[in-house]
Amino acid sequence: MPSPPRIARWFLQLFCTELWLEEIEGDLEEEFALNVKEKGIRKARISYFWTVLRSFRPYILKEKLLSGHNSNKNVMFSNYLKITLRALLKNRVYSFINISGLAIGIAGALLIFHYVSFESSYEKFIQDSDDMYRVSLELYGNGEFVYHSAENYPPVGETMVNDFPEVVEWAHLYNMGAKNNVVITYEESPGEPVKLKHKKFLYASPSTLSMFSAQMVEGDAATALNEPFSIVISESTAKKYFGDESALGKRLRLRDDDFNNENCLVTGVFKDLPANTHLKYDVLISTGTIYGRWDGALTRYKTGWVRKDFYTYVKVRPGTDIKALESKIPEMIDRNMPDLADQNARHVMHLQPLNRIHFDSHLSDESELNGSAEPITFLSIIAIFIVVIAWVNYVNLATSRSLDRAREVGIRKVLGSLRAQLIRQFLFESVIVNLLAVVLALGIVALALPSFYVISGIPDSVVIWQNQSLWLLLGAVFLFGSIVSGFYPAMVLSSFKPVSTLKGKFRNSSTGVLLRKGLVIFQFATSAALIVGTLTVSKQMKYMQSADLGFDLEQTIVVERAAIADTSRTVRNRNLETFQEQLRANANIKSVSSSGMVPGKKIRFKGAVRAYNQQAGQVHPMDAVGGDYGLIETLGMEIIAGRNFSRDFPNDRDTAVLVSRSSVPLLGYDNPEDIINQAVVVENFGATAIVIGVVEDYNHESLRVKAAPSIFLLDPQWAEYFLFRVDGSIPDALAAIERQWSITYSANPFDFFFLDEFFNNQYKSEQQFQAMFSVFSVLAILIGCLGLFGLSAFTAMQKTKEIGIRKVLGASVQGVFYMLSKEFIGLILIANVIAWPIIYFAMDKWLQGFEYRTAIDISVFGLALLAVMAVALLTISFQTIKSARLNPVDSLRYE
Amino acid sequence: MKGTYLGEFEELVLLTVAMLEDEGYGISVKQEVEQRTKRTINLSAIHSTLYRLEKKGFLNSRLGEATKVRGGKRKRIFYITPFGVKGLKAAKSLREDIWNSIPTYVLQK
Repeated sequence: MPSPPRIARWFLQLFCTELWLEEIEGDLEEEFALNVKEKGIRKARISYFWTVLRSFRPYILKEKLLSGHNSNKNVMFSNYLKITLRALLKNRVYSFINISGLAIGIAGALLIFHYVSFESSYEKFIQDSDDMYRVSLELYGNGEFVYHSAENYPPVGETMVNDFPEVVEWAHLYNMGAKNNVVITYEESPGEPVKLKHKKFLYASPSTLSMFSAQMVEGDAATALNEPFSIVISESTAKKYFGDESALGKRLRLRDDDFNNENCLVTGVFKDLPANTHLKYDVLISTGTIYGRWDGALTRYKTGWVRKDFYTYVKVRPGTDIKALESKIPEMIDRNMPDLADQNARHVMHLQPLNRIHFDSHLSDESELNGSAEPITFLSIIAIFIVVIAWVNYVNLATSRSLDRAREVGIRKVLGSLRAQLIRQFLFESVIVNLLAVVLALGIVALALPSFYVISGIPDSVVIWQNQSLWLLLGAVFLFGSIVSGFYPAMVLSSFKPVSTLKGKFRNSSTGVLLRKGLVIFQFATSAALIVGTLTVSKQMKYMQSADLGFDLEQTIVVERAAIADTSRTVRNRNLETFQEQLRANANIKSVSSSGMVPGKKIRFKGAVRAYNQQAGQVHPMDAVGGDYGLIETLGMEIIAGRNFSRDFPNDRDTAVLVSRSSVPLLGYDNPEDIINQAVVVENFGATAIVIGVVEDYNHESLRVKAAPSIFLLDPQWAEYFLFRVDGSIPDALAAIERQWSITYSANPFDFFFLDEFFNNQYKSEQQFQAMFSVFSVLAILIGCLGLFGLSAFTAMQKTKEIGIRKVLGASVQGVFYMLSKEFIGLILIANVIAWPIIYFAMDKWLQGFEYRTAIDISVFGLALLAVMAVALLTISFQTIKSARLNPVDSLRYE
Repeated sequence: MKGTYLGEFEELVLLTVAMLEDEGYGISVKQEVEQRTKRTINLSAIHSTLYRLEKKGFLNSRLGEATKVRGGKRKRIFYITPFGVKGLKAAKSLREDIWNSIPTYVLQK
C-alpha cells in the first residue's frame, strides 16, 4: 500500500490546527488511496502535495501561528527589522557597498562553481561510469619511452573479459572519423542525394551503445550494432538526412579515401550526446562491417596483436581492486605477444578511470582535447577567495561602523536588553544583508550568463538553474555568511559598556583595529596575487601564440583530400596534379602543396629510423611526413643545412629525405652540416635514403609537448591535405579553390579550414582559463576596492575632528591627504610582500605543465604592487580629499 | 447581513450536505459536487467551505468512525442545522421571486 509523501504530511502537521488535523489528514489519505487506484501513484502524490499546499489558508492555521502577534519575541523581531532597514537607509553608500560587494562575490563564486561542476560532470551520465576504464598503451623501445596512446590492440578488451573474472564487459571503437576522410550519402533521398562529411564517426563493437548508456530514440541499444553493415546515428544527424521521417530501415552509403564503399542499414537513432563526455560521436557503424572487409580483416581489426588503433573500454565488477587487476595485465601481454622482449620492446597498459579522462589524460590519439585539473583547482581557490573577501568587507565595515551604533547599544542596554538579545539583533541584521545580497547575486548571475557561456566555453544547453548542488552551495554560503560575517560584529557591538558609550567618549578597542588591518592585508594580498597570476597566465598564452613554431601558419587555407576518389591510381594522380596545377596559376595563391600532415594534428606514421652505419634494429622512432616539393616553402619552414627537395635533382624522387634538427644527434651526428649526404634507413618502410637537408625543429603540436624528431619523405602522392598559402584576397582564393574542387572532385562536398585557427584550437582550454582567470581577478579586486572605499570613508569620518584641528593649525590639504593615506599604503606593502612568494610557487607549478614556457617576470610583481596601490589610493582619495578640504569650522562643530 | 449571506459555492455545498443526510464529510461532499457540476474541485476548497458554513451556523458536525483506508483517522460528519435550512429556503425563495418577475417574453427568447 503506497503511502502519501512524507514531506507534505509533515508540512500539513506543521501548520494545521489540532482541532481539525485528524479529519483533514483522514480525508486526504482517503482521496490519495482513490487517486492511486485511478491515476497511478505518481499523480496521486502530486495531487496530495498540491492539496496540502492549497490547504494553507488562514482558517486552518494553528492558533500559535495566528496569535503570535502578542509575544515579545515577535515584537522584538519586527523592531529589529525596522532598525535594520533604517540603519541600511541611513547610510546608503555603506549599505550599497556592503550588499553589492557581497552580491558580486556570491555571483562570481556561483559562476565559477557552475564551471567547475560542469567540468567535473564528465561521463557522469553514463550508468556505472565509476566502474568503467579505458585501457591505454604505453610503448618502450630499447629501454626508451616511445609514446603513450589512448588506443590499443583490438583484442585487448575481449581478452580481458575472457581472462579476468572481474572484467565483465568490453567495447572497442575504431576512430575512423579522425583517421580517414569519410563521406556518408543518403542516395535514395527523394530529392538530391544528401552528402555529409563526418568527423565524429567511429566503428563500434556491439556493446558500445549500452555500455555508454546511449538514449535510443529508435532501435534497440542492445542489438543495433550486432550485424555487419549496421549504422546508428544521432538524432540531429538523422534529421539532416531524413528530415522528420523515421530513420530506421533506411540505407546510407559510406565512402572514404581508402576506397571503402559500404551500404549500411540504419538500425538505431540515439539522442544527441551531452557535451560532457570525452567520446563524442554522431555516427557509429558496427565493427562487424570492418571485420569482413577483406581476407585477414578479422585479424587486422579484431583478433590480431599487430595494429594498435582501437579505443578499448572495459567495465569491471563494482568494488574491484584496480591495482590488482592492472598487475595481471603484464602476464596477459607476454602471453599474447611473446616476441616483444626479442624486439627490445616493452608494453605497459594502464586502466584509466573513465571519469578522470577529461581531467588528466593527454595521450596520443585522444578522441578530443581534454581539459586539465589545475585550472579547476585555481578557479575553485579564486571562488573561495572572492567570497571570503566579500565577507571580510562586511566584517570590516560593520565593526568600523560600531561607533555609529554604540549609542544605540548603550540605550538598549540601559533599557534592559540582555547581551544575547543584542547578539541576536546584529545577527539578524547580517541575515537581512546577506539575504539581500543573495537575491542581488542571482540577478547578477542571470545578467552575466550570456557572456559567461562565451568565456567559459560551457554549452548553454547546460542550464545553470538546474544545477542542484549550486542551490545547495548558495544556501550554504547564505547561512555560513550570515553567521560567520555577522558573529564578530555582533560580539563587538554587544560588548560595549553602556556608560562609556553614552558619555560620548567612546573609541574602538585596539584589538578591533588590529583585526581590521589584518583583514585589509588579506584582501590586498589576494588582489596582488591575482594580478600576478593573471599577468603570468596571459604572458604564457602570448608566448605560446607568438612563439616561433618552426613554421608560419598565417594566410594558409587547408583542404582535406577527397573522400570519394577514383579507384584508378593513374586517374587519381592526374586529378591531384591538375587540382594543384590549376590553382598554382592563381594570382592570389602564393604556393600550393600536398601534404601528409597538417600542423596541429598528430602525425599518423612513425618511421623507425637509423643511420646507415648504426646497428640494424637500433632504430629511433620519428614522425614520418610525406609531402610535395612545395611543402617546406608553403609551411614556411627553415632549412638550416643542405637544401630543400627540388625538381632539378631527379634522384630526389626516390632517395632524398629531410630530417629535423633534433633527429641529427639521434642518428649519431653532432652538427646538422655533418649529416648531409649521409645514408639513413627507415626500417619499417624498408627504405634507404640520403639526407639532403635539415630543417629547424618545429612544434607540430601544442607547446605543452616537446618538438618531436621527424623525417620528411618526398612523396607528392602522399596527399592527405592540400595547403594553400594565400598572398592577396582570401575570399577570391577560396572561391577559386572551391571552383576547381567542384571540377576535379565533383563527387565530394567542399570543406576547408584556416591553418592558424585550426592550430590555435589546441589552446582552447588555456584560452578559457586565461579569460576566466582575468575576469574573476578583476572581480576580486573590485570587491576589495568597494570594501576599501567604505573603510576609508569611516576612517576619515572618525578623524574629522583631528583633521579640523590640524587644518586650523596650518596643515595643507596634501599633508592631510598624506596623513590619511599612509596607513593604507603600509598595509598594501605588507600585503604584497605576503602575496609574492605564494603566487610565485603557484604559477611556477602551473608553468611546469608546459614544455615551452616563459619565465615568471619579476617586474610583474612590481606592476601588481603599483596597480594595487594606484587603485587603492584612487579609491580612498575620493574620501580623503573630501575630508581634507572640509572647512575646519564645520568639522570642529560636529560634536 | 454579511454573516448569513450564501455564496454560490457555499450554497452548492450546503445543499449537498443536506442531501447526503448523515453521510456528508470532506470526500463524499467533494465527489457529489464534482459529479453534479462536472468540475474538478480541490479538497481544500471543500474543507474551507464546510468549516466556514459551520462557523456561520448553517452546519453542525460530529466526529464519525475511523476506517483503514483513512489510516485509522476519524471523519468529521456534517449535518445541516435548522438555521441552515432556513438559509437555503431564503436563498431559494429569493431566486424564485426574481424568476417570477422576469417578463415571460424574455424567457421565450
